[in-house]
Formats: sequence, structure tokens, C-alpha cells
Amino acid sequence: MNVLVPPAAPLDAQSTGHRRNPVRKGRLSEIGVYGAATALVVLVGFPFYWMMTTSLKTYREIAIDRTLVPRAISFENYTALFAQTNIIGHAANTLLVSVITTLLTVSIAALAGYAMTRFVTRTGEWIAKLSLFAYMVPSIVLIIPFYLGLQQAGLINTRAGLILSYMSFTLPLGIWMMRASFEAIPKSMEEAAIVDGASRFQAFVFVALPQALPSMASTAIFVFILCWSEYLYPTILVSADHLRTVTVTLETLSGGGQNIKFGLLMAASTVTTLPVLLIFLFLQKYLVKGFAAGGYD
Amino acid sequence: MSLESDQVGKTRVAGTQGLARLSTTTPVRHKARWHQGDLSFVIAALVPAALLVAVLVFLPVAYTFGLSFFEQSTLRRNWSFAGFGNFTELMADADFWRAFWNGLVYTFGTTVVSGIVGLAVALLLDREFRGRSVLRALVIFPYIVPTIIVVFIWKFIFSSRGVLNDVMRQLGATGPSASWLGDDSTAMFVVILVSAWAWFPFVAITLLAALQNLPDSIYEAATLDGAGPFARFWCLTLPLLAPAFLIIILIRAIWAFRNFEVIWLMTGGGPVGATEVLPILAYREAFGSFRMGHASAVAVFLMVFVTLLALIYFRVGARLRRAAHGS
Repeated sequence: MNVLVPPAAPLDAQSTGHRRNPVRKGRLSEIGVYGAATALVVLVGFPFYWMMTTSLKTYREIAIDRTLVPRAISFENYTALFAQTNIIGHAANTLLVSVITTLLTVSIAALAGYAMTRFVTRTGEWIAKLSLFAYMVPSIVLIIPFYLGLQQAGLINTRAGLILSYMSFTLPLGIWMMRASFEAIPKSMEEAAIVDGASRFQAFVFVALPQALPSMASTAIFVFILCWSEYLYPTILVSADHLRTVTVTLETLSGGGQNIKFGLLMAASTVTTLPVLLIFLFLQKYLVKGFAAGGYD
Repeated sequence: MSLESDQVGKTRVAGTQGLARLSTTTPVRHKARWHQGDLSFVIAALVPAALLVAVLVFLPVAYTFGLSFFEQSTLRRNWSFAGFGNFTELMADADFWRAFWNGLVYTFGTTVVSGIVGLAVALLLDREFRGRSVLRALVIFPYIVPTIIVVFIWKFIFSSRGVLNDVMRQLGATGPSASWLGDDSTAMFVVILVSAWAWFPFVAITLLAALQNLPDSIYEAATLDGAGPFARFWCLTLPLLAPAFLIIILIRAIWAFRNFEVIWLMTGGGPVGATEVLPILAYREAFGSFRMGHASAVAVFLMVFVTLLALIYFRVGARLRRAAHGS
């Protein structure tokens, strides 16, 4: 059961000989295509344009003049943001938690995915299905036991507790994605290595793993983004300021009913988008691959 | 490829074939060859993963099931057995049924909107035009930006003195209400649109992959036979895409029904419960009124429903795969 898991997703190889819609085409349909493309750019781009420009406007411009293009660039929202909140500290904490979770998830999932495709394949298929099912379990079902259980274990308000709660969704996803990637990697080279005297672990690390690196990168990126964006678990499971995540900071800024300070909120949103933007700009290849491999939230 | 035989009539087969290529490596099962030390390797590799998933997911699920049969008094914090008390209470609770109904409306709405927009975008990106690769990349962005940010940006756009109302006023139109999210007739509509905006990229990108796996030959044959663009769309693209589309829609439906964040951050379930869905009800019961037993009963109901959807998903997936390989 691995619908949506193409081994080598041809997503980034589209340019090769695509002749479905032949070039001979009327003016009209060309206008239609570019019109639709423009509409799509606006639909996707405008909200982010609005976020960034709002964060650079003065309060007066946001609330009273309401200009579409900022008249002058002002950093007052950012100064206020850094003065009023500890968003940099919270971002650093989120980064730490996300990176640890990602490393743990990818290494555990890679080992499991390898074993599931090399040895107990029948059981492996079942584990994969169960993992996907585990990934579908609503977080609201898990949060109650987590809250009560971590309290009992003295792990409430700790980074360890937060990381464990994150792994409840990252690990099932990781296992699902890593199994799919190892399934696509031929076994013959490892067999040859073992015949030549390598141990199974060596064959895994030096022969199989290098071939799985791109998929591991995709998995890691997806897991990282999920952790970075997670909102429910940190709101419930941590309250100490030094353990806060950026999402919680954002939420506190959104309070205030009718008088939400949107300039401040948009500045915080822009800061929080940055890591995702960097991934988007520099690691897009892996992102697209991860999409195809069943990375979804 | 076995499908070079240009048989337009064979769309069903070709469709499943297309899905097969979207979906899986052909499971050629070799008998695993075990070497010395492999057994301990397998145990060491599988135990941490299996144990963690069991402890972090399945055990808590069981715990929630158990908890749903208990009641916790808020003051003394001791538990007492309640039997099916929490459930009978739920069945008689109008809030519960409203939340369930809202969940169905929300799931249906977001799935339909993101499905249609996703399909349209996939079809657009399947064509060749200048700037296509940039656009294809750009489309992913709403999907990977943290949900909380998506919600806040749109909350700002939809706010009573937000840009949407400003633009509408410039165009001479007035919004259906001063406040889109504060009005119970528009709140659900807005929440659905925002969710669909965040999720259509998933539909678009996965469908695009399916589209590009469709063999060109049958299109050429259809064109030769005189099929126009509309005929090709209705009689070829759509049926060929159907299996992949169905799976993608099912995934989206599951994710919509279990979603908590979007609505919670957008409206908190309001105004007056107009957008309250089961996850929000459970959350309020658990962390608002600290009625854990009651909240667990809601969670159990949610879990059962999601499990049903998941079973349909697995069943459909398996059937499509069998059809794909069997042909």
C-alpha cells in the first residue's frame, strides 16, 4: 500500500519531451494561459506580499491610510517586536527542538525503513500501513494522554517532552517515507558487499545509505517544517518562557480581539517564515521529491 | 511501456497504469537472504521505531479510549467510572451534533474547493508557457508555510478594516457583512476558503505528477481521430486521472476532518459555535473546562470516524493498485 509513492518521481524531469499540448495554438488560448497564470501568481503571491509590506508599514499606514504599496519603509514593527517579545530566543528554541526531532526521526526511520524492505518485507508492509495510519491519528486524540502522561512522568514543561510529542507524528511519517525510498534501492550491491566480507551494518551505512541520501534529505526537510510549524503540542505541553516555540509567540501576539496589532503580527510572521523561505529557495528539489513521496500534513 | 498500442478505448486500463506509475515500485518480492548477524541487526533496527510508534501513538489512543469511560471531578481531581455516561451525554448534546455537522460541511467544502482549484492549476502547469517552472515552484509555497502564518495573514485580509473590504468598497460592492469572521453566515465560508488555499498546492502538485505520467500516444491518437481539446479533456484526461484524483481527495478529506489548527486560530470555533468542529469541541472540553473524560469521548468519536475514512483510503488504494498490476 503505497499509493503516492513513486520511487523516482518524475516531477523535476518534466521538460523532457512533453508534447501533449502541441505548440500550434491560437492567440486566444495563449492569452487564456497567461491570464490564468497571472491570476495564480496573484492568488498565491498576494497574501505573502501583504504580509511583508504590512510588516514594513507604519501604524498609520496600516490602520488609517491603508495603502496597497508602502509609501516609505519603516522598521517600527520590527523594533517593537524585538523589544516586546523574545522572538529570537523562541525561534532559537524552536530550531533546537526541530533539529533534534529531525535527526532522531530520520535516523530511526532510516534504520527501520531499511530493515522493512530487506528482511521482514511482509511484516514491513504492515508496519508501513500502521505508520501511515498512526500519522493520520488526530493530534487532539493524543494531546490528552500526552498532557496527563507527561505530567505524571515529570516531563511537562521540558524539551524532552516536547520532542517526544513531536515524534508522535514525525516518526510515522518518516518511517512511511524512508521505507518507500529503500524499496526503490536495489539490493544487489549490498549483497555483493556482504559477500566481500562487510557486516550488515557496514553494508547499510556505506552501500545503501549513500543511495538513500536524497530521500533522507526530503524526509528531513518535511519533518523539520512540520516541527517548525507545530502549534498544538507546544501550547499545551510547555509554558516556561525559555521553552516557548515561535508559533506560541505568534499566537500571543494575535490576542486582543478587535485591536490586534497587525503590523506587529505580520512582522513576527515574516520572521517565522524565514527558515521555510530559505528551504524553499535552496532546497526546493528535495521539497518537490518529498511531496511525491507522501509528505503531507 | 506496454501501452504504446494507441488504443483510445483502453482508457480504463491506461488510467490505472498511469496510477501504477504514480504509485509504486512493482513489488518484486525476493526471498530475503539472511547472513550471519542479520537477525540482531533487524531487531536493533526495528525495535526502536516500533516501540516509539507504539508508545507515542497507539498507547495514547488506547488511553483516550479508556479515559472516555471515566469522569474526573474538576475539584478533587479523582477519577470515577462512568460507563457509557460520557457517550450518552454526548448523544444528547446539541453542541456535539452541531460540531459533527460542521466538520462534515468543512471537510466537504475544503475538499471540493481545493480539489477543483488543484485540478485547474495542475492542468495549467501541464501546459508549456514561459515562466512555468517558476510558477510551479511558487505554487508549493502556501503549503509549506506554517499554518498559523497562513491563518493570520488571511485573518488580516478578511478583517473588518482589512484589504478585502477596502478593495470591495473601491469596486462599489459591499461585503456581506462588516466582519467576515464575526458573522455566522460567512465565517464557515471564509474558513473553508482559507483551508483550501493552504491545501490546493498538494492537490495540484500530486495531480501534475499523475498528468505527466499519462502516455502521450493516446492523446496523439485521439487528436488524429479528430477529438478536440474539450473531448480530450472529458474523455481522456479526466477518466485517466480519476484514480489518482480519488486517492488525493480522500487524503485531503481525512486531513480536513481531523484539522484543528486552521479553525481554532481563525475563529476559535465561533461565532457562537458556527465553525466549531469536533477537534475544537474536544479541545475546549479538555483544556477549557478540564472535563477530560468528556473530551476523551469526543476524541474517541473523532478517532472512529477518521479510522473509517482511513479504511476507505486503504481499501481504495489497494484496489487501484491491484487493478493497475492486474491489467
